[in-house]
Amino acid sequence: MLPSRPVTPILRHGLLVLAFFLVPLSLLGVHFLLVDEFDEVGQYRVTAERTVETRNQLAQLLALHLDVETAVRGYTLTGDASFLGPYADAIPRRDAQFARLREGADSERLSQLDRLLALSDEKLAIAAQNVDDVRAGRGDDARQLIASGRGRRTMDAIRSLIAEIDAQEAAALSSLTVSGAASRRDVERSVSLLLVGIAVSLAIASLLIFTSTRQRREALEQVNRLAKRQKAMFDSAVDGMLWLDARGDILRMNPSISRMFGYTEAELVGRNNLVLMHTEYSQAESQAWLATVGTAGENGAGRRQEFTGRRSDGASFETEVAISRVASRLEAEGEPHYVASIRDISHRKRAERMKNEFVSTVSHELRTPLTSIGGSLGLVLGGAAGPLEEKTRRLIGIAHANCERLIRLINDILDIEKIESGRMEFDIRRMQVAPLLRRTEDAMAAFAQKHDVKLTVELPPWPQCIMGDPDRLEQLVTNLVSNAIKHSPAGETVEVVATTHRRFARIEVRDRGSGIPTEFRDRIFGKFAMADASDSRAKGGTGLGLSISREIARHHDGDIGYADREGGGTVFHVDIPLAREQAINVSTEADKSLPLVLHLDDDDDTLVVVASAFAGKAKVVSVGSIPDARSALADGEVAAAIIDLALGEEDGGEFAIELRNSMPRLPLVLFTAFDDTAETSMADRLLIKSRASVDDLVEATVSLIARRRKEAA
Amino acid sequence: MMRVLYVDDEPDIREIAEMALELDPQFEVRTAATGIAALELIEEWKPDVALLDVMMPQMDGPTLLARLREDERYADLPVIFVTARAQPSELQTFSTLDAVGVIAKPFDPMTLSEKVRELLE
Repeated sequence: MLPSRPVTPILRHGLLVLAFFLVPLSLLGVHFLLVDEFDEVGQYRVTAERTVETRNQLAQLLALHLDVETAVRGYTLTGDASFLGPYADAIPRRDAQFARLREGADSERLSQLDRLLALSDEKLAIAAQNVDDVRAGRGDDARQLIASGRGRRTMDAIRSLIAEIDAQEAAALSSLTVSGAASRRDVERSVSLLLVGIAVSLAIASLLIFTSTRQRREALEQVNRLAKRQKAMFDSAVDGMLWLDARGDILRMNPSISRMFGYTEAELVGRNNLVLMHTEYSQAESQAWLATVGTAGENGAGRRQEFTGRRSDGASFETEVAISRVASRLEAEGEPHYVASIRDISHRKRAERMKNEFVSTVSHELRTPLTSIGGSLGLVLGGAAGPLEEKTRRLIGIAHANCERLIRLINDILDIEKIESGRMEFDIRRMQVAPLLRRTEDAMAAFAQKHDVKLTVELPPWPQCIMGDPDRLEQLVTNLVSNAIKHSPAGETVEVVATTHRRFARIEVRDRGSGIPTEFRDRIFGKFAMADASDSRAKGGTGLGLSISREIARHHDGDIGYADREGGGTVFHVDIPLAREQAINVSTEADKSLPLVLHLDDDDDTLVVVASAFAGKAKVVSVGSIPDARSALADGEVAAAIIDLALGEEDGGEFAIELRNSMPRLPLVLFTAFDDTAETSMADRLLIKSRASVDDLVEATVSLIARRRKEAA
Repeated sequence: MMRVLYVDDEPDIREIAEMALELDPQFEVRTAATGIAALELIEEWKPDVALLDVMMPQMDGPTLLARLREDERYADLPVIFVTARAQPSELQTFSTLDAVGVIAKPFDPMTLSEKVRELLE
């Protein structure tokens, strides 16, 4: 009769408390009921005894009168005085009986007794007369008196009155018996009910206690099993496991840690985990770092990092450590705990190093013979070995071109390999788009000329700053331009155009080629992708260029794409994120009423800070060099200029003078570290970097612009 | 005349480089096959510039450069590295090693001497 589903703890406790209250309450009830019943039974017995006594006395009273009558008749008939025995003490006996009957009698009974006493007096008076008559020798009178029936009638009245009282007593007794029986049955029922209640309560309580105990035992067993299993997991994990407190002290460890680091558990528990690493972090730094670690599955959780492990003998080995905050109720109890799983990755590292070594060696080993072949062919073609016949020249030319292609192929394969293994290094920094495109233009000019294609570059009105690796982006753009040139018919133009697209700088490469065949579109960025097999021979490509280009773009958090060009041809575009302050400007670009402020400074950080400070008040064109500043001014909309005097190799002061002369009405603010140069006098405002805040600069510039506008109006 | 020393363990490449550099009539070229031979030749011949292959057995280019810099007489000898490990980041690390420049292999023999002149400027 176990509950089919587990009784909830609250319900269980409620029931138990109820049962424990019910049992004593029921017992108390039984006690009171029984005491009450005993009282009643006692009273019943008293009443019954009195009734019996009353009836007994009534019977005696009746017998007394009968005796008197018998004695008087006997005396009357015989004249023998010995018959008068019972008559002699009749009156005192009768009075004694009456006195007893009167005890505790109610008023009705008293009046009955009075009537009875009157009848008795009459009877005794008749008897006395009879006796007197006989004593006086008037035997006939006596007999006549008896015959008159007075005495008999009186006697009848006495008998009937006594019978009446007796009947009343009997009825009272019997009704007492009936009501007593009824109340006993009630008590019996109540007591039975209470006893049943007690029994049920006790049963429920026992059941609850039993199930609760069983559940607790099962839960305990389960916890034990779980703990054992977890300990087994913890202990048998191949990876080293550490349980750390908030300070990074080791609370627990598994045997793998001992194997890995050569310490026993006793040596490590209680010590800081830094003892296991070669690191320059202090304990405070390590603790601060730990505090940023989340639980697994969260952001910033399960931090995976590579550390150099330190064995007890001081030897180093490479490890990968995954660490996460322990997600449990323990945390509610105070400081967080952490679990670190440590993997010995020296094998993997060794394999990686071997692979790197191999790739490097292969590239070296392949390039060395290619250097010889390409070099020899180049020298022969260049006439270093004397003049060549036309046929020979053509054949050597083919060999030389294919040798170069092989070199490109090797370079591309190495690039792909590096990108895919995540080992390609990107040196992402603040850079401008214009120099990148100019370099590409220079590099591709000869190639374009060879294909009889014109190459034009169109730059944005003011410099675009992006975050990128100049070498990789040049590789990317060069690749797109090279593809465009290769696929353009002779006499056409390949246009390179830089624009802005949302928060990206967009570089478009437009050609008038035959377009991209439909069936080729979904694999155009794949490896060894070429529109048709003859393509590679004809164009000298490797089929890896676009694949590499896309990887490069994506490593910059950008992307690459293409579209059909109106009027024939294709437009490839690459989007690279703008540097932060330019992205800010773009975001406020919608507000065309904002004045344009030119900021010239050679320090990128200052440019970023100033551009951010102007957000919402002005649109800042941040430039790092005087030529860039000139091209930005050429656009003609600049409302104010902020200039740093110390620009590395360039002289900001000279530029400021030039600006003052060429654009006398342009508000000019010097924001610089020096204040002792002669040029400062011609500026509208001079703010020294160490003294003025960026907010001062914004306020000064904005008020100058407002004043100049008012003057103009 | 400018004395150019080319050091490489590959005889074919030594020969091609020598021919390529000699396309410049102002260049007088000699080659060495090992770092030790290069040190001897520098001592004896006193070149104006040394082109060193990076990967060579026994003594590689950077080690040879370090040996040269230890000697006061050659502290200012311009050194150019030639390497087949021509990844951009690798080229950058070589340029920090007190060399005036890096030339990637395979090089174009017809423009090799021009490049050397450019780097020396």
